Amino acid sequence: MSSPTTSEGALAIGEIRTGFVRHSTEVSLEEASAVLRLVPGEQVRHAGRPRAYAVSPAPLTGVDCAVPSARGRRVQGVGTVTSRATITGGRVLQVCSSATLVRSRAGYRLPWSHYLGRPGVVECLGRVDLRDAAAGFAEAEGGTRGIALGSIAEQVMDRVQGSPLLDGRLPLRAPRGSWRWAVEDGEPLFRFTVLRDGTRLVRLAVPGHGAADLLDLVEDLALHDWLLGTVETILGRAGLGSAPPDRTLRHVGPLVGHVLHHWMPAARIRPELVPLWDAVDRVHGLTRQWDALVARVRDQLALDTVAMLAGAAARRDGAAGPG
Amino acid sequence: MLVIATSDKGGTGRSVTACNVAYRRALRGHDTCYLDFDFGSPTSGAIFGIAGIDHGVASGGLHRYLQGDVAEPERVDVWAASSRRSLRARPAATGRLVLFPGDLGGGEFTMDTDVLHRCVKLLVRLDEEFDHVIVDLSAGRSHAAEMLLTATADPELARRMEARWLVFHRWTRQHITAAAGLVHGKSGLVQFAAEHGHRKGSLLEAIRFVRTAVISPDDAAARGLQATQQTWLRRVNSDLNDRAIQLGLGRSFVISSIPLDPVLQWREQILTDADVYDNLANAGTVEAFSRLAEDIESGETWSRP
Ligand SMILES: Nc1ncnc2c1ncn2[C@@H]1O[C@H](COP(=O)(O)OP(=O)(O)O)[C@@H](O)[C@H]1O
Ligand SMILES: [Mg+2]
Repeated sequence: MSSPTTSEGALAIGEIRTGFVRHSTEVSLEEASAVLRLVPGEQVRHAGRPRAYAVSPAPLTGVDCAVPSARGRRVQGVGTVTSRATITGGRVLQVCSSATLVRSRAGYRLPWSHYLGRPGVVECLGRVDLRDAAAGFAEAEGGTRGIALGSIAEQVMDRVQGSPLLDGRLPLRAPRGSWRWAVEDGEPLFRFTVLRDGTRLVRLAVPGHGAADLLDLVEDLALHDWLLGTVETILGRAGLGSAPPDRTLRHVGPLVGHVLHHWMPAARIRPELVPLWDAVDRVHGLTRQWDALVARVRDQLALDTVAMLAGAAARRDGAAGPG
Repeated sequence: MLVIATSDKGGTGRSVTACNVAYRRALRGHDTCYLDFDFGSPTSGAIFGIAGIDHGVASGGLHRYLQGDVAEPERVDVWAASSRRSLRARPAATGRLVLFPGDLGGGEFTMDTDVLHRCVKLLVRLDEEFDHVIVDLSAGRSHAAEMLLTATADPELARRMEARWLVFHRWTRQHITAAAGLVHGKSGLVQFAAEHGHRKGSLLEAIRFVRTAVISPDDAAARGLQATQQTWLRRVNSDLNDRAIQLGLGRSFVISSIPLDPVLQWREQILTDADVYDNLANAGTVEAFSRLAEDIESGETWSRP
């Protein structure tokens, strides 16, 4: 598996998209494996515990593009982007397209065979400041982003979602979550920005951990952050406590049936990185907010049930009462 | 669900009604998007009150997307971007309301397999995040109409998204004839559908008519018409009804009649409840928009035998 790794003086960047699998029920591990077979002849990896998780092989996309820059520097980059699609819990689909930026030894563009031999590496033809590139990609709204990792991720996602094995009948709809990240070498770093359109930006450096480890972490953060946002939005629609119970139930029912049980923070990241997850969680209060939302859902369902039972009892008494 | 708005003529009130219906659906808590495929006259920006895109965006609208010039079409969050304060004050529990504008000077385009593929891809993609995708087409048997007819026959789309068609016409003799021609005429929608992969008769089941800017003889009195004028109006109205039935546009195929509205007569806009409280717009118009927004999904006219 060709995951990008940061070696000396390298920078890994990527974009993640998160959404619901377009299917009426949770897909089994077998179905997920079939849906994620993106490269002929290569296997889908999967695990059943702590929860069902399947990872596609990594298709490559050739790029010849501008290298990102916060300061508007123009450097050409040539190489390949790798993508991986994952299905978690048979319900949540994520695609991450990423590349490691390195300085080109040659300084000019080589034949494609050269780049194909280095999957997931983009060579920068010219003087590149990797800090500036990281900031341009994963910190600033302006600047040049150059490399279109987002649209590559979207395309891979569309391809998975278009699988004839998926019936297209979504129990609930939500906009895709969008994360851009940069994993750097050097001093510990965690910088998190939310753009106006909801895109999350992360710059990250953890000594001793390469992009492959950190990608699992960022992907897991992206999944839970997106779950939280999605549940929040749907509950907003449901008008808990103010809308009629049937409207509430129309929105809340699918949440209980399809979403709430997918909350399982840090389930598949390296144990050494769990403290980092916890630290992020402490600052941003993901779990706290989640627990509050889930409690609201449970309370409202309980109230609606009581009201329905009381209504049924009143109707029964009315029917049997003095006539 | 996919809702496609079309009409034979321009100026029927199709865009204004479709925008108001999108707004009403979002108010009811449904995530709704509006696709301006009226490439000749993309007025949705003006109707939603989005400053600077009265007639489409400068780059990256739907026209440019279909041509393959941009990877994703531009989106506008109507709740946030409208210059009308009553829209920006988004009530709690509303759904998303997203406009995909057309392009300035977009003009027509020719449909080839690439364009068609992009259209299908976009619709399938939007179905992932929106409960309702409302498409406003150009008037007549346009390329846009052919594209949507072909796209909705595509198995990838058809097995996921139910499509419903609304044909708008004003309540006049000419408009009734024109709307009937658009649907039933030689090289009309029904025939085109049959030739492009739709099951025979299936399109007709998915088409309903919307009568716009209607003056009902019953509120004529309220408008201060004299008795002789009222009698005349009644006669004309009954003639129109006969004509509509004759041409296949009778009651059972009509999903809505939108009254003539004084505000809309002057200005293309969203009618908010505040406009009614302020006595600017007619409550009847807003009610008709709301009912249509409801009936699009579940109206009994769809289950007609
Ligand atoms: N119910 C109505 N009552 C009065 N005028 C209307 C009504 N609906 C639309 N109009 C007006 O008719 C004109 C054409 O409307 P528009 O929606 O742009 O038509 P189309 O999209 O069919 O070309 C606009 O000036 C609009 O404000
Ligand atoms: Mg129009």
